[in-house]
Amino acid sequence: MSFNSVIFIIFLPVVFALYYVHGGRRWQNIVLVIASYIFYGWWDYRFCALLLASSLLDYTIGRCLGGAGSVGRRRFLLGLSLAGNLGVLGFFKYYGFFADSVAIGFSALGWEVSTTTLNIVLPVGISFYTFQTLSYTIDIYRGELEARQDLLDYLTFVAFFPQLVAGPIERAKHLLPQFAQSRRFSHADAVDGCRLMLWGFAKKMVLADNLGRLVDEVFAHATAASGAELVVATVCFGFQIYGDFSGYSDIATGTARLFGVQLQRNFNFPYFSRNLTEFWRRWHISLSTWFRDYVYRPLGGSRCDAVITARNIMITFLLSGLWHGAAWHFVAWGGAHGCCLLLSRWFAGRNPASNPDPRLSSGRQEPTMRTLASMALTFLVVSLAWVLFRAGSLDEALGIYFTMTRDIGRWDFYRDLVVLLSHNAELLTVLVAFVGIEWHGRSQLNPLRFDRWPRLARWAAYTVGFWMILGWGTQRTADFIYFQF
Amino acid sequence: MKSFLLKIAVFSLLQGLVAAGLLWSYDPSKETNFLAATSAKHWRLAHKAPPRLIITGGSNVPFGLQSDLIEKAVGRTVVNMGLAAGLGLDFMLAEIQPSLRSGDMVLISLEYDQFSGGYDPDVIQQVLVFRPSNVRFLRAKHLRKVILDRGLILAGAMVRRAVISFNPFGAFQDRDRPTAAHGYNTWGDLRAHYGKPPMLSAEAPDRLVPPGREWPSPSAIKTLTRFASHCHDYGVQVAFSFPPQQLARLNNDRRAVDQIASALQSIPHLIVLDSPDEQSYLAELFYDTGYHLNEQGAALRTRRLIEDLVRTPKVPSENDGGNP
Repeated sequence: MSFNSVIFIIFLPVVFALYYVHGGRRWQNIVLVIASYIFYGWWDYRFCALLLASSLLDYTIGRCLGGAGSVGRRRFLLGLSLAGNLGVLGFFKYYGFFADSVAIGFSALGWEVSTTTLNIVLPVGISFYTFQTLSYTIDIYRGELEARQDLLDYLTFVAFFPQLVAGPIERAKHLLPQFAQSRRFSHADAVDGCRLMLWGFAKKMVLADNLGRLVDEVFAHATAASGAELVVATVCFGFQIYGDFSGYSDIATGTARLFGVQLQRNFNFPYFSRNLTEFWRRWHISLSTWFRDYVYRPLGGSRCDAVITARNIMITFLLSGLWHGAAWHFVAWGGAHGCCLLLSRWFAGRNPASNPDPRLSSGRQEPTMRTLASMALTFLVVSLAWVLFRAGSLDEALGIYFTMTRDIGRWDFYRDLVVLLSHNAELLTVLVAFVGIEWHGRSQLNPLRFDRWPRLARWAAYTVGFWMILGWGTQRTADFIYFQF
Repeated sequence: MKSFLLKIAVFSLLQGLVAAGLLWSYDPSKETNFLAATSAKHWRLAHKAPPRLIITGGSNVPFGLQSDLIEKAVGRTVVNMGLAAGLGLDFMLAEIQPSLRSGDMVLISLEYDQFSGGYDPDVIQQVLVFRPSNVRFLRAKHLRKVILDRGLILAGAMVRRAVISFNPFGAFQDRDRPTAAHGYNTWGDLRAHYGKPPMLSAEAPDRLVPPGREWPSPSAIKTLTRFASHCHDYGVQVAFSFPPQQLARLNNDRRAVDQIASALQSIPHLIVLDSPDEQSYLAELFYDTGYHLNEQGAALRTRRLIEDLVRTPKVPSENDGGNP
């Protein structure tokens, strides 16, 4: 079931009412588990079996790990969890990719290899919940978490519907304790949650879906498109994927708050980053920190010499690219980010300013020209990398880069750019307004918290937002982009 | 909790008031879109007395028939309910079923791909925008795609149409002028394309039905069987006429076409008036797609149809005055 559907609008109040009709933890968790499986099974009821199997595997291994004394046995159990989770992920997501890649590789050497490529349906959200359950067993193995005895708590943690299919990828340490006690309704959280949902819907439906029309049109004929079209579409895609994914995260976080559950922040205005390191601390935070904690640091992180650190960064980013999709252009996207990050570290010294500047983020200080230039440069690099992400293949992406660089020196490019922008003036206006609202509200989690405004003005703003979503955000209702991952 | 629920209720009420205002200001009768003709067609269906000849099907029906001539020849009031194939068989039949009276005759002419039993939720949604009361013709199979999963598109489209209607100058200027709602005549035939130059592509003929599956689908035949049987019980005749098509395209999908024809012959109480080949026409008799006849094509098809209808014996009513 998608957030932007009528069934979700019916589903949410029903689950909300059932959830609070009885305040006990057990009841609340039962309601959440049943609701989550209905939510997930709405796509395909067969997916529920996979979700349950994945949950039971890690629950059982977690309990065994909790009781296992010897290092060998603990390692064996961890290996079992890794093999089980990554095996399922590999089968559903990567089988075709690896089979085809092997065949192409051998073919290049002159050997024809017959591969059986199955027509496998990718279960929605499998990458998200697989990583979530993996973190549970790894944390127990490391002794950072105790195995959960209550199966119901664990099932709720894995299946919690707001974040099940596209994150944030929650850590057991953060989410499980919340399900281990009954949740009480908080008026402030619920109101804030509703605002966050409204902003999330606006980002997804008004911004991302409308930009998506232009992006899809250009990228569908990328080889025939002009440089100006490709530049505009690439920039628009940057905002489309941000609006789409962060919109989902906002709706998920807002929905969770209605149930008294706090999810971790997944986006922190990433396009206001001053360098790539900062960008990755603001973009898809739950995945970045997952890779940091379970891949980068175990490899040695940055506590090694420069060469090993560079290797660790590259491995982490290549894997992150592969996580997004089973295709070489996703791997290249990860690789490009890794290379650019290494370059920026090299230029800025070993530890460039990687955290958001608190004075800038809080709005107490306006950016200097130098800061603005850094933000623009970071945005440019990120946007160029999005080409690798959005293109249908590596060849197509290279073709797009070629067309852009070829055309950018021509007079026609700038004329086409002006024509394109004037033809899409509505979209441009929405985009500028959106960036303005985010900039203005960058000091808070939710830019729609107009606490100092009089109630009438606040409600008028929410009403305008609501009708913008319904009137302008429904010309094309597309699935969330990250569902495919 | 009470305070939160109260806020939600007040906010919802406010939005409901805005919605009511928008819908109140929206006048679907001013719409000029091709599918907006659904209102006029339903008006005619509701206001004409039996014995009627109610024709339904995809867009081949409004494009390719001259109902006034049929009416004169067969002595029945003709109501041309045909609109678009995307509505699907179930919706098309559901639209007419409540209005049928003993003594009526239903003539169905489905495009070949409609024998999949499928439908296009976008087309149904557009029709619902122009005539929201058509929602009662939705069947269980439509509910998920049309309302539950994509209902926001429908709601949004209604909001947009309502907002557009505020514009006194540019309202409802649809681009598909030659096929706009005002191009229909009283009977429900589209005439706006008469005399217009053909828009048929010179490319090789497309497939009539998507390959890779068996035709027709059992569900489509089941729906037709149930409908014909139901109508028979209430003294309503049901006939089928194949849609117009070029012979070359029929030959492209000969196996599927023959299977469809054979399945139709096996349906009890369904009079099959012609065969696919009898409804084949020269390429120059088409206006745009492979199903849309031009004026000459429509005249020829009408003549053929009249001959077939005149030959068809009238079934005596078993349940006069009944309503299926």
